[in-house]
Amino acid sequence: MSKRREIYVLDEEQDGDLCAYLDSLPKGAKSAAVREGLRLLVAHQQGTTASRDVETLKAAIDDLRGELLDAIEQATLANRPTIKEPGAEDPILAARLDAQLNNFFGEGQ
Amino acid sequence: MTEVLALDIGYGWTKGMTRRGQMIVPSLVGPAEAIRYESDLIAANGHGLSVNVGGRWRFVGEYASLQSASASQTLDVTRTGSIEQKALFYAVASDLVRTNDTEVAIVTGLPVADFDDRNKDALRKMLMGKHEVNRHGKRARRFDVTGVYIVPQAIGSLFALVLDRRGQLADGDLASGRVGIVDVGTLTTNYILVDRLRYVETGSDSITTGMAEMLGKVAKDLKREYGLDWSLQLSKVDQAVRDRSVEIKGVPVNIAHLVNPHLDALADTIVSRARTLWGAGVDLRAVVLTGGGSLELAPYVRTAYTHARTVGGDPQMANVIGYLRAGLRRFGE
Repeated sequence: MSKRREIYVLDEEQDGDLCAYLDSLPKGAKSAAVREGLRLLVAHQQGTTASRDVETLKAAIDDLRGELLDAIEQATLANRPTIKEPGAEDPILAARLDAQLNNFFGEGQ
Repeated sequence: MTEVLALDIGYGWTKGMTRRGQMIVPSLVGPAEAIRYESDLIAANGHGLSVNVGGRWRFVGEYASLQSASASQTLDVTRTGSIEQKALFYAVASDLVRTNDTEVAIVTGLPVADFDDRNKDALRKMLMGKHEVNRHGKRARRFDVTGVYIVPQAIGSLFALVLDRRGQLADGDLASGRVGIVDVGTLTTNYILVDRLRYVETGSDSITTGMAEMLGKVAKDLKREYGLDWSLQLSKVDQAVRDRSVEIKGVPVNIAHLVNPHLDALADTIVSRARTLWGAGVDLRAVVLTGGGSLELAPYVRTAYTHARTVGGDPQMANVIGYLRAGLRRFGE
């Protein structure tokens, strides 16, 4: 089985989201991620995306969103004092809950 | 001042709650004009719920089942934005919202399978805006719903467990874990997966299987074995299932042999879907059982998920308690 190397170019500004995602992957996982993404794209363009693929993609998006929210929470909380008084809320869990409620309640008006 | 009204319109029961009180009525709606001697009945029974929706009077709850021949638990109750739902909303809101509560924020839920923009819009359209509720024998109640906040139905039970009465996080153990929630309702069963308080859509779903299906089968058996025709009185069958007993010609008769196989079959269906969503649940910190059917089904579900637990108190009210606590966290003083 022969391997083939291809070089593709990403613009760090325009494709910042993709760069960040690829940077976040563990070593050795980037090629697999690109292959998976291309397969989904090909399947989509050919109109043959199976529902299983859609579910896989939705799960991946869910995971990705979770990771992103985690990162935002960590960054937001990093500069705050985290001394927890007895009986007070855990600041990380509280932030997570408020983010979820914002997500649910955002369209209330 | 803005009042938070938690509202849970289910197929079997409609529940409402504010900081000061709560209300639960059977989700039964019947046309009032079908009733003879209407004024006498209302005068004799001041607590009868009768509201005007769309220019027509409708009886709600027990009153509808007693007085309205055509009242029934129709599927319209579950049709988002239907007249029946609005009558149930009016009956609960007009009882719980105070005269001087000019602005109301409603926190409510939709089954996971209906948690989409179309149903959210229909529900919001029904609830939002200025309302004037005319009630037989009582003063009209006016209020303005300034916000409608919708969550997936069963997640209210988790909020009820992890939040205290002011909406503050109180249970860090469940809140910091991955938790599956199974809400066994009258017509549907909802599954919610939450990972450290974050809703995971891909592990959540709802199926149109609930206690009504099992009660209907028990009702058939009761008719066949004992001649009891309770097929249109599922609340009686429900009580008989809880007691595992009925009274035949004044003598109590044990009906466990009729009930248990149907409960077993229902539990099989419910657990089967949970297994598809969560596997054996080994990565879940807990499986929380809630909803009106949860107490009956708990022993069966625990054979598949040994770490399954029921919510404390009345499981029928758990979702609405959680809606209120989430609402108070967001909009409370």
